[in-house]
Amino acid sequence: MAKTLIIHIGGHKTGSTTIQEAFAAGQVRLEGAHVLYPARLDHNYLRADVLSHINSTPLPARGPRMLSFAQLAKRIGSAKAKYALISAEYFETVDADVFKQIVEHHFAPVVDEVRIVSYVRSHVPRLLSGYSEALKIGWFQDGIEAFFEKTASDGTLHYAPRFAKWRAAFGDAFVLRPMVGQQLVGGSVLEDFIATAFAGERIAALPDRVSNPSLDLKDQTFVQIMQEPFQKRQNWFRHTFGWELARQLQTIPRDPGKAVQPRPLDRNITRRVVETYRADAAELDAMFFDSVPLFQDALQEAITTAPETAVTCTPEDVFHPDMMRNIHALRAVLCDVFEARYNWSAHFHGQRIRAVEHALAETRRDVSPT
Amino acid sequence: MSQIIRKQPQGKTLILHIGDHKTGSTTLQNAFATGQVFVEGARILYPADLNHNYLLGAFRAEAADQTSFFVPRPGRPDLAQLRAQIEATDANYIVISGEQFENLAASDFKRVTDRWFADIVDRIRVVAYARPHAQRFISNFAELVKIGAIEGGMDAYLERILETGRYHFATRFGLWREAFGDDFLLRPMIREQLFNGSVVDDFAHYAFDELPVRLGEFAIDNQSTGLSELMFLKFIQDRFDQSQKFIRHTMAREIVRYMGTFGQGKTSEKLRLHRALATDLRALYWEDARALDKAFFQAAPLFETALEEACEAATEVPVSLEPADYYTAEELRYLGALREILWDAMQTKKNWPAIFHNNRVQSLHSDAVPQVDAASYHKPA
Repeated sequence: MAKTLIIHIGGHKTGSTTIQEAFAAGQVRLEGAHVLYPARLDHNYLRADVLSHINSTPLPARGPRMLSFAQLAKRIGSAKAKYALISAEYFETVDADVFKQIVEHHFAPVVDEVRIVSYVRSHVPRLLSGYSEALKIGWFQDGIEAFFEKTASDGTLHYAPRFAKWRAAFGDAFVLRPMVGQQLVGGSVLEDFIATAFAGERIAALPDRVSNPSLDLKDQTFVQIMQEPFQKRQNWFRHTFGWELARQLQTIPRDPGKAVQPRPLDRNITRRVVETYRADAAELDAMFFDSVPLFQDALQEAITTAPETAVTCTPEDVFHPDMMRNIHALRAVLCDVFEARYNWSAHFHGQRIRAVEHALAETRRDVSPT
Repeated sequence: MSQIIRKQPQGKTLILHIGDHKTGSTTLQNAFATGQVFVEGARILYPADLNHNYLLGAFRAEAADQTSFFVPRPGRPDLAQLRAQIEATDANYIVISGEQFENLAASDFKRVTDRWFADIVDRIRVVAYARPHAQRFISNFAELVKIGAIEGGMDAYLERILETGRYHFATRFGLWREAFGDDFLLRPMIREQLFNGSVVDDFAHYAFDELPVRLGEFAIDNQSTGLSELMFLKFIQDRFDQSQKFIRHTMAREIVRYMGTFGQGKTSEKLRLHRALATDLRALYWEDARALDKAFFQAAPLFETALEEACEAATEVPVSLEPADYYTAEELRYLGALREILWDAMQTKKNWPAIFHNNRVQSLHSDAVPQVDAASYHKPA
């Protein structure tokens, strides 16, 4: 039986968590074919392996269930599954040629085919979603305009040159899917991913929830307040704390009477965004989507739908003074609590893993014969 | 020519402040622990970093002629260390303060203080404050909600206290007078009756023989929690179970302390009795109030009037004690997420009560005095 390795490289803010958690929790099943997903959550931890490969340095010590490239290759090679899946949105930032060396060295000998799958989201929603994520993980505290300027200068949203490199390195084995308009199969990134990665296979089971949805305007303000006192702590602390906050928010149902209010981008900034990425959108459409103007239209639509005036959302706009006082008091107590010597980052991250493992156990119980 | 005769401190006096609970003890202790009470021509020793509530177990053990296993540490001396400090000091007044002593029998307290201190001081005085029944009832109930020590409403709390006789003040304080005679002073925790309208001023005035007193700046413990604040705390406490009593207690104190540093709440509605309950309280404690007024306040109808006033201030129907009636579902979602993270952190094997307590002590002794209006306390006697 031919064996195919799918490497899902993200990108960031394109539903990667939904894909990863669905496979980690065993909630995706194909009819007549098995998918090996050798991770508790995802493979972003392989950043260390990539750096080790680039710098020729030894791998750092880590848990036994975080397999290295070599261990993954061994596992995949010995598995009976028709498909193996590795997923890490971190990979989108890796140089495609370096990644190709890694794949050829470790995986080419053990599988018959390698497919690289990535998603790309239209520029304005990606900017807004990236901003929301940056607030959540506490790596950015400034306004949306400053975030736009930062991303414009670091090239995060200049897709075409980056994906061109992946195409050059992997040829047709690299598939770029547009997370834009009505392009996704079933309107869902997970279904689209399955249809793309395991083309021709029929789906036997799918989960019914989306993981890590973007926070709305009020949630963003809330996480911004909560992350503010931790600005001097390590990135990983803020990252895991933000994820835990968002996870808790997601477990509590929203007031059904209140509409979720996404953060709008006012027309002035939208125009600047569009000008910045117009050429990139055209290039992307031409290179990957048969010149159908998917990304160009998305930019145009963003201008049409953008509100004229900016929406202010300072904490004082969002919360009643007594609520601010309550939040600040709890925040102050939590600051003291997190001063206690304890590996809080591992604790928060562990919470996320435990939640997925709990879901996995439930899936196994549901599918096991009684 | 007239000559002004100034009062002088007489020998060495040990003053034991025994509460009651909910009569401003924390503010009083904050003032002494940070050395902000100055008596003209006299020195004060306050041998604790916060208060002496930690000695309750030692007093109980001593009273039962048993050994106490309390381990002293800096700022928390045991009885032997206290005795040594009191013996060595050249202070005129030594203040020991713990509202938990309210829980001891007067005769037991007397036996312990006599055994340890009578021979090394010239005088032992005991000072207590009593808060009118209905007001004490509300305040105590609010405190129990705050620290998560009660599940039912105010009617259920009434059932609980009736079994203890705790609010039968005349009987209880009568026993303290019996034990200490004129060295026992009971003061009414009624604002208009307090010297300068403040318990710290009042205590400083009466405990130190009416010598001129000056108060510095200190943290005022604002116990008067508004209803929406109380429901916020109840919402937090509802996540914890009864096995985490000490965590709940110390955590609540920390949350309230921090709330105080962020100013006053904007919603001013307070917890109030409902009419039927106020009427029940009046009927239950009427005789006690009269007896107390007669025995301790020259028959001025202080506690009797307070019971009447409580009936007048009561609401027609019981106030809701459901957080959802004070916060929107959206607000509770945010507070719920934080509550969950706090609860989860509390499950790690850390000595959280000690950590919270230590933070409180450190905060009290830090230079940064919480932003409270201390102006009214900043006056020369």
